[in-house]
Amino acid sequence: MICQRCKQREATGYMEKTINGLKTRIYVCPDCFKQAQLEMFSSFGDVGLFSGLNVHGGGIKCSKCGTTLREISDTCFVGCQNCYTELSEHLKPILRNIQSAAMHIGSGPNSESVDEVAELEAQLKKAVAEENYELALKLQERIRQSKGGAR
Amino acid sequence: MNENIILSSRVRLARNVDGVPFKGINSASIATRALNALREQGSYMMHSINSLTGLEQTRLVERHLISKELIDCQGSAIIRDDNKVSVMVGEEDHIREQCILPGLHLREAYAELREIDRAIGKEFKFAFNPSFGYLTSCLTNIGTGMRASVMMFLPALALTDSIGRCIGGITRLNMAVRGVYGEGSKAEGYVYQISNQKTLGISENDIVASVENVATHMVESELKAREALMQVDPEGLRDKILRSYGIICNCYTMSKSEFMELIAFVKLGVYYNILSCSDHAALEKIITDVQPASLCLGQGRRLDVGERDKVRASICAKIQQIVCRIGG
Repeated sequence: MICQRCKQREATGYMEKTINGLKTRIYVCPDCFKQAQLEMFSSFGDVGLFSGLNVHGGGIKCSKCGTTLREISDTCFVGCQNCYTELSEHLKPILRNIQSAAMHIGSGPNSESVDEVAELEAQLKKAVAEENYELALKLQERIRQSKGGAR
Repeated sequence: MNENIILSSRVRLARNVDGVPFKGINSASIATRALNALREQGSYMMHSINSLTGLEQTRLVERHLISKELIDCQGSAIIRDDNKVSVMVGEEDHIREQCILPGLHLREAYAELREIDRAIGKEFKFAFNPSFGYLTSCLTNIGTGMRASVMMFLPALALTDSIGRCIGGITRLNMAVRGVYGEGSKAEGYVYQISNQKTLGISENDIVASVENVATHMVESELKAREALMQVDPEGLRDKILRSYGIICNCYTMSKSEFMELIAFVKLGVYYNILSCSDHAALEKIITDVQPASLCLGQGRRLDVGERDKVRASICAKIQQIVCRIGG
């Protein structure tokens, strides 16, 4: 099916819009889907949802690379890794919108290997079955740390 | 039977070097260090994009070893001899590691990539933050930096007009459906790429499991659709398959789009036991060899569209040596 927005590329998904109480499906290509998401995001800014974040005036920006919060919310791109440190609290609502989460729970650079985590999980199961809760707690903590540590 | 439907599994990890700006890096120096870090992991070759001809660059894209974006960024690529592992340097993120395996083998691809990531991680300190995970240039990759994808051949779902509904269901599960060459590309030859969209707040193992689940579900749907397709019009389908086989082996010129359409029906014919294939790997190699850049490089020179279509037709004639008709 051809994208109903650009009428050029192939549609690979759809968006639902409620117009006058009527739910309508619009089949779109990935490019138009991304564009529509960005437009929706920008329009939130216009009605003041981000007014508390000072997105509009561009007042909040990374002191290292100068990328503004507005630019990040419009493009989804940050300028440097310092943006994540300095604008951390402002990025969380944006991340919740894009990723439905704002906290990492995967592995980290010093995590144990997949096999080791699987091994720890097997040991944990065994410890629980044997009602060795002290060991289970220790294993749980090691698994938590190796999966990234942040919950 | 999965092999006829799940063509390949790919896992990609996005990484950036701590303290280095995301844009404007010296990709050659990072790539040289990454290559050294991989010395003990196998036999790798480094290619600087600007040292390759346009055709060589496109051939790497056709073989899914690099992205089109890497060419735009003029980065570098480190490719393992077996073409299963590649590392792109200087694309949207400093380092993008990927492992691609045939069939449904996401777990194995991730396990292999973990070792590559570990080796490169010894050479570089990656930009990482306990709250946000691996820090990436785009917010859509942050956290695990992981994209797990499967390439699926779904002709029956497309021909029965069920693909739209399936895609709708998949996108609701936070998965993306794209064409064969990633974002913005067309689903040529009924080949679709399904991948996770969410990279934050989910562990790597859960990403792999979720993509695997969706892929398994899609295989079941495709098999049902293939059954339905045969029930609705068995003679029409047999005719279409045999006509496709006839044309693909006996023509003088063939465009890429015509080839992709016909080869899909030939593969369907093999599935339905209307045709038999003595060498699946050789058939897949022909599909790769007739892509535009691979075709020109096979001839040792740049060809215009008309010349390419003639050479493609002559290569396609070889299909009758490995695929033959069964019964009447």
